[in-house]
Amino acid sequence: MAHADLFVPGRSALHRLDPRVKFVLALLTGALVLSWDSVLLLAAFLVLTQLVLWHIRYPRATVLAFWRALRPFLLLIVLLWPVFHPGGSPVLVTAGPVHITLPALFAGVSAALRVASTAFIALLWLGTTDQRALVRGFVRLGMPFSLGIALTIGLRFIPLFAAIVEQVSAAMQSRGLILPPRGWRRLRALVPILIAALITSLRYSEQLGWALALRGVGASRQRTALHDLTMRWQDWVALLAGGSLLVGLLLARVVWGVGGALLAPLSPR
Amino acid sequence: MVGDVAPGTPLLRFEHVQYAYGDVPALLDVSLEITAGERVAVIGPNGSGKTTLAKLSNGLLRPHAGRVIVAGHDTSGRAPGELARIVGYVFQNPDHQLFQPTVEQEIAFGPRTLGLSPSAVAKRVEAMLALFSLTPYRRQHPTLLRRGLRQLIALAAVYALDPAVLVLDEALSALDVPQAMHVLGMLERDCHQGRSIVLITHDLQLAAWAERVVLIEHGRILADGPARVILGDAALLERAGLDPLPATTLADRLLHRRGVLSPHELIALLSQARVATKTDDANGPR
Amino acid sequence: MHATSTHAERASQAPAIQVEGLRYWYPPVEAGQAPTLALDGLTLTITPGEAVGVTGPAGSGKSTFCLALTGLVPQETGGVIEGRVLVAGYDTRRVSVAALAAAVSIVLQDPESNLLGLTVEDEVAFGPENMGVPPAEIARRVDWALTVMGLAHVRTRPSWALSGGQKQRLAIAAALSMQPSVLVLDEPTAQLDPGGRRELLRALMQLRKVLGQRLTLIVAERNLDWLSALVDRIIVLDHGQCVLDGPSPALLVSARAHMQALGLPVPQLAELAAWFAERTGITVAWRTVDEAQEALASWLAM
Repeated sequence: MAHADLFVPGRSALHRLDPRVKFVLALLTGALVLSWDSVLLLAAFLVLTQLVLWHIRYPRATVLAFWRALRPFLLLIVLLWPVFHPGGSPVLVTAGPVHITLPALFAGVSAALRVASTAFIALLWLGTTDQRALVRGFVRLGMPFSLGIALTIGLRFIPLFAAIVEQVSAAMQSRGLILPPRGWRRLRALVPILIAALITSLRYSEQLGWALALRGVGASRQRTALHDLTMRWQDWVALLAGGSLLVGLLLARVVWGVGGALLAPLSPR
Repeated sequence: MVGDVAPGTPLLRFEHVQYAYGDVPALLDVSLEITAGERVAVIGPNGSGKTTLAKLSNGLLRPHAGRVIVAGHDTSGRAPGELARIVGYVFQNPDHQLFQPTVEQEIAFGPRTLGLSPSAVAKRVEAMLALFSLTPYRRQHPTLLRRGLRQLIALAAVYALDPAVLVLDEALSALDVPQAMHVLGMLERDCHQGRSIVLITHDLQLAAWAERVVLIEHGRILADGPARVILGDAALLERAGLDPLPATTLADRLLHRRGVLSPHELIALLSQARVATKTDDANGPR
Repeated sequence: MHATSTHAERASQAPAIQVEGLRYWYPPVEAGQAPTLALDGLTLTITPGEAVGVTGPAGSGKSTFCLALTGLVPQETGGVIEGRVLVAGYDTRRVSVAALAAAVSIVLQDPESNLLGLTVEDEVAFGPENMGVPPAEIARRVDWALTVMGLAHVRTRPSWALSGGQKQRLAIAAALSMQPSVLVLDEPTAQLDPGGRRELLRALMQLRKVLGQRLTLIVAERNLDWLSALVDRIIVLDHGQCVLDGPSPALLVSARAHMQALGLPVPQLAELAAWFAERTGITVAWRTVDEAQEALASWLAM
């Protein structure tokens, strides 16, 4: 059964980093990237993410699929931003009430780059952290365990549900149901499939609830763990060094406006 | 529909069919022909390609090489929904096939989707309820009934389409063997009118009901012949990872005889063998 | 309830399972209907270390009986219960299912529904983790359970990548790591192919050899050939009542007419054993084809 998971096992430093540290650094990097307006800085950052993905040998096919999924959104942002933010000079194109100016275009590109960068930060984080470590990291950071196990089972359930829908669809087509290739009629034809899939899922989740009770969930207040997370010195170094760098850059942005100009660091603010 | 086809006419034909799931090959050069009125059992270990074969027969899967011809139509050009009136496929898990609020409506779904008139649909529903002894449950919700009944409902729902070929993919697994044999006996009566039945099963006693057995292993047809010959060959079955019936194994080991399927037959042979030994003894020392 | 008592301590409490006048009605499926009677007056005793097979036609109450041993019936299924069930001394109506899990474990017939989608070793560790067992002890139990079930070589694989037979064995390993004194299997071979069934039988026989008295095994099954190779005693249910109870495989021979009347298949070995007894005057009951072969070979040679 296929697993809807971005995680690909590997031996890079990023893979071995403690999931809590990765999570914190991902958050800080995301915040930093979102605070920047500079097209040059953002483009450089994006290139950096691609280099890291290449370095840790993340499958190119998945990266390309990721870009393909992002493409329509990025194009939309670049095209629509100037329409809604006319202003500045020089004006490039005028079409009736719509003025497309160069600064606005740059701002659009900057926004698109921010979206792409955050997406790739997420990919780098999820691509190098397996589900168990992910959930364990959250739990150690304070998330209640029951939420953690719900998350694990929920994540596992997505491909399971997809598989059930596929099997139910096959069974119904075998009874004469013809699925229209697209459109409203297809949606309507999917209804009986979803009903059966839902019933199967409910039955399955009841059994799962039993399985959890039978494995002693709720028996003891003190839950232990076979493989627990421990911080190595590398994790501390990454956290402190990376953390300081990112916080420093954030402060630079907020206090001194570094990275605020569209063409920073080339042009003045 | 059934009845239009004379027994002996080819209904389902696989011509050098290949299929793979991604890089994993499932069927490698499979050629097979099933004629109207035949009862065929398909056996083999898990992963051998049985279910792939079944899904190719009604168009749920399209061959990567070769052709699958169903009653003269190439499956590549047809949607599974169109082929459903010719090939009725019953899955093992009834929960994937039941979605109507009552048993009656479940059985009515197929004929109605095929476009039969309301009176014709009603007639079919009554016939199916009677045939599979489901009348006491007609207004109940199928998912609340036990698994064996759910399997019968799924079977009835597909049978209501009056398909020329019925494919049962372990569809009787929740029934006790005597009950399953009873159902197969009922279905057998329609084989005389030209309906073919393909039974995919792990249970060799059920397989013995068929007249012909096809043994698949690792995507290839290892053997295809009369049930007695295939099921009665202990060595062949063991090579394919299956467990022969005890009578078959004992006949093979004790008497070097093949083709023995029931204790009754084995007992007769054992008695003969014993008599023969005693006669030898009585005729003097060797 | 912390699982501090060891296997030995629990084993000395006899019997392992005591059922007294058990009656159970499932709640009605639709409002206004009468509740369905699933178990109708079961009384039996099972001693520690026994391996008992439970069989019967579809709808006879096998699964309900299995669930009643774990407390799921009636705690999770609702309905009305009469009489009582004592498992390892605990009353299944009073002790919570999670706490009972320290004494009794069940493996359901759908291999998928026993597993949580973790890696193999995490699945096996999950139970003891919930019970607060120290990590070093958990590691020891995981190693042992995986070895005895023949899964040590796949310990880091995700559980959804295993075959059906492997999943069943994993579910049993996950149950074993909680060190129950009673293990219940509800139709474990129903969704397995012949290879999977063989592997499971081998693993269970090995388990019995290793644990002996410390584990009581209850197996609900319709595949009587498979079951008779594993268990010492067979109970036959019909409409929620116990209609036959005797040593296995002897019962399959002596009561075969009755079982056939109930709609159960008569194992071929039982048929042959009955004929052999008639012919030679020697009462036999064969568990496996090998046993039958040996007896028949010597008879032929006589």
